[in-house]
Order: sequence, then C-alpha cells, then structure tokens
Amino acid sequence: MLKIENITKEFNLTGAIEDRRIALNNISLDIHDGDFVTIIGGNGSGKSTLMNIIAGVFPPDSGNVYIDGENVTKLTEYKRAKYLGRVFQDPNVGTAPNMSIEENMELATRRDQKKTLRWGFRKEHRDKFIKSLASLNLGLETRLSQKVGLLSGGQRQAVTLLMATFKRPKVLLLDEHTAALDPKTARKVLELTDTIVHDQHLTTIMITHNMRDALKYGNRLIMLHHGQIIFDVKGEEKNKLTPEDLLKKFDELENQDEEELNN
Amino acid sequence: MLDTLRFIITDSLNLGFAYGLLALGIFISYRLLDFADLTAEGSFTLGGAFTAALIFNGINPILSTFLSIFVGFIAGIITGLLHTKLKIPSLLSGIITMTALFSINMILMGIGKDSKYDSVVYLSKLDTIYELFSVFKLRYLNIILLNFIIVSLVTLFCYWLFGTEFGMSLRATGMNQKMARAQGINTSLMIIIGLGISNALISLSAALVAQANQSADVNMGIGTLVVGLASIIIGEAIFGKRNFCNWIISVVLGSVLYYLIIDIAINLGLDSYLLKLLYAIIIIIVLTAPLIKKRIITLKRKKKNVEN
Repeated sequence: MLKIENITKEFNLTGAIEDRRIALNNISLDIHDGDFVTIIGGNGSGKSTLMNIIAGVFPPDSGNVYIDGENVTKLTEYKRAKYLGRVFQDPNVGTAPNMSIEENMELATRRDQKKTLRWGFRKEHRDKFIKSLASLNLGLETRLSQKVGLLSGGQRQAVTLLMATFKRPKVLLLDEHTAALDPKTARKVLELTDTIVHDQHLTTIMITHNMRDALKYGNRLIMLHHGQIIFDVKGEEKNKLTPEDLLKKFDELENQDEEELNN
Repeated sequence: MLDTLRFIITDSLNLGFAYGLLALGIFISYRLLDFADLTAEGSFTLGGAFTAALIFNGINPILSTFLSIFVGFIAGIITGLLHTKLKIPSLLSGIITMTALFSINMILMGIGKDSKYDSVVYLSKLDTIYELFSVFKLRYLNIILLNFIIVSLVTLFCYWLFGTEFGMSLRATGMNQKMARAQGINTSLMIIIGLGISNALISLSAALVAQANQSADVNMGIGTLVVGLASIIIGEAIFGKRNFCNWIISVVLGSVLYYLIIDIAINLGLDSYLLKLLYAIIIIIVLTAPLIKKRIITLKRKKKNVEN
C-alpha cells in the first residue's frame, strides 16, 4: 500500500558543512494493506521527516514514494491529501478554529475532490456527522454549529481523527497525535484510533514517544536512529517484546554514539 | 443646523456605502485570509483612475465601472503571485504592487491628454453612472440609492461565495494553512484568488467614489487600508459578528458609521489636512478598546478583592 524507496533527506544543504544534517539516510520501507505500523525513535532520529516526506510537506533529495502503486514523489502536499488522512501532534493544527464543527467536517468530506462553487453545506452530510460524532461519546453531536476553537485538545483530536477517516484514506498518518494530551485523554484518543483503524481496516503509521503504546497497538514496529531503520519487527515477534527490551535497545544506541564521539 | 445635519447624514450615507465595498475588500484579505494587503492603497487609486480615464475618453460609464472590477482583480492576483510563487513576505508583496501601481495610475490618468502622465482626471461635465441612473432630481439621492443597491448585491454575492465549497476552503486557508492542505485545499490558489476578489471590490469602490466626486486623483488611495480596517473594527464592535451573515453586514454598516464620525468631525471645524491624523487615532482607539476593557475589568476585580 505504501512503499518508500531509497529516501534521503538532508537539511541545510546550502549551509556550511558542519551545519548540514542528514535526517533520512537511504531509507526503504514497504507497508502492506491493513498494516498498523508504530514508529519510535529518539529526537532527531528522522521520524517526523519521514512522516513529512510521505505527506509531501517537502520533497526528498532522492528516492521515491509510492501509494497504492502510484509514484507520488512529485505530487504536492494538497494533491496527495486525497490518499492520506492526517492527525498532528498539536491539536490546533488539524482543524480550523474559527469554523464550526460542521464546517470542518464538510471540508473533510471533500478532501479528495475539487472545491467547486456548490453550496458547502449538505443536509445528508449533517445526519452522517451527527452519527459519527455520537460514536465518540463526547456529547459533540449536539454541538455541530459550535466553533472548533472552543473544544478541548482531546475533543479536537477526536474530531480531527473523524475528519481524517471520514473519506477512507489509503494511508492514515498519526504524528504523535496524543503527545499533547493528558494521560487519560491520550488513552481515550488512542482507543478510539484503534477502533477506527480496525473497523475500517486502515493502513496506518503512528509515531509515538511512548514505548508501551508502540507495543500495545499495531502489528509492526519500526525503530529509527540517525535517519536509518535499525529495528523492524512484525506480528508474533513484536508481541513478545517488552518496553524494557526497547529501552535496552535505546541505551545500546546511546552507548554506541558516545563511543563514536570519544573516538 | 438642520442643513448641517442633513449634509452629515447624506454625505456619510453616500460615501459610507461606496466605501462599504472597500471595507468588504479589506475584510476578505485581512479577516478571512489573515493577509495585511497593502495593495489596497494602489488598487483603490487604480479603480478610480482607470474608470475616470475611460469615462474621460468617452467610454460608457457602466462598462467602465464593470471593467474596474477586472483591473482590481489583476492587481490582487499579482500580489498573490508575488507572495505564493516567488515567496516574498506578504506585507512586502503588497507594497511592491502598490508602488508599481503609482506609475500605472499616472499613465492611466494621462490617456487622451497633452502630457503623457497626469495626476488627476476631472469628470465634471461628463455623464457618470449616477447621471445615467437618475431616479431623483437631486444627484446625491441617486448616488445613495445606486450605491445602496450595488453594495447590497455585492454583500449578497459575498455571503453566497463564502458559503460554497470554494469559499469554505478559502476561509480555512486563512485560518490554518496546514489543515487546509491536509484537506486537499490548494492554499496558494486560494490566496491568489482571494486577493484578486478583495482588490476587485476595492477597485469597484473607488470607481464609485471617483464618479460620485466627479474626479480621480493619484492620492485618493492614501490611507484606504486604515479606512477599511477602521470600518471593519467599528462594525464588528457595534453590530457584532455572531454569524457570517451578521458579520459582513456589520462591516458595511461600520463603513457608514465611520464616515458619520468623520463628517461630524469636519463639521465641527476639523481641517481636512488633519483627517489622516484622525483616521490613525480612531483606529488606535478601536484596536485597543478590547485591551482597555479587559484592564478595567481586572482593575475592578482587584478593587473588590482589596475591599473584601
């Protein structure tokens, strides 16, 4: 469903050599239909860069991105949006704050379409919105005309999640989408995510800082370090892992780095 | 006394409605797109100069007025392209177009005259749309009625446009470009077209003002951004912005109210050279009003706490 082929991305290319930073170093990845992949890695490991390259926020220096067989490397961010559902770390990013819940969701129904001069509100959509909002159990189904800016961070992430999956995306991208929430709300949003992913059988990539979540959710785990995939486990093998195993891996990497520095 | 009062009311109505279009234009760029677009200062003069030059050279006033919409649209598109395609900061993009328009406006006003450039066009003996549309004997009543009809139609158009899929996408772009792109919205296109529509309305506004005043000059655009902003803010403060319909009507009425204040000031003896100073002071007061309101409330609370 999603194929990444020899992607390299370096920042500050025009700057001095010591300021250059390789974010992704010749990465290749093949994600199958219905896979739920969790990605972990330290700061500066290239997780977010990878996500942005898939979403088309910026182009890679070299390599290709394929979604469902189509080479989308040269497609701009907004054109690629028809294939992708995205939820961001910052709850403010996923929605338009001064627009109502209904308007936000109306926009999401046209993620894969041209924006025409037809009237933006549809009665038949409203019934669907009410139904899907009711499934969140947050009481939002009666607040369709309320501005999204008035919702709490958790409510906004839940709405963004609905918006991202309203039109079934080929790939769902979750960029640490619970990192800015309190633990209880984060749990709720994650459970909701898991339900939606399973119900719609979505191909999903989720970045997380939380080892426990990375192990609990999904059927495949990838660990990034210095812009390379250093660990990739699936299915049974992943289920056997414990958070301690992952922490040990992180420590090993840190020790390696220190040794390199000392040499 | 009664005459003065009548003058104040009629003048603020006829200018207010014409400048209501300007306020709507600035509203689109400043409020909806979150883009402080200085093109306005140039495209306002452009609308006036262009229409006056056409009428001066014998073109039908109705056609001239329509064409002013088109040239304003082009001016806005240029600013949009400078910003989105050439990545020039928004404020600077507007200033560049505004600066270039100064020369263009001088050229336009020189058309059909002895010198190549001119800084003013007079239409005093020529027919304008207000002469063609003479329902009443008094010219200013015709101006008020026709301007009212035009501004109503444009407001209706804006209400419809910003409720469509396109309009929603444009508003989303102004609020949150990241979200807009994630929802498949071409944000660059929205900014370019939005600025086009904004400046088209500003240009149309000037086309009406020039014909009402029977003249256009190269300085008529100075301060338009401030006039538009003040109208928006006064309108919002007095008439509210509960929903989109209420919001755009408030903006137009804000413009009428703004000219009421200016006319009263002039009739109280304010020198016309001091007008710009008054503009600036009004906008500072209106912009800081919410801040001062907050201060007063917190001060009152503090006082209460001390008393308790």
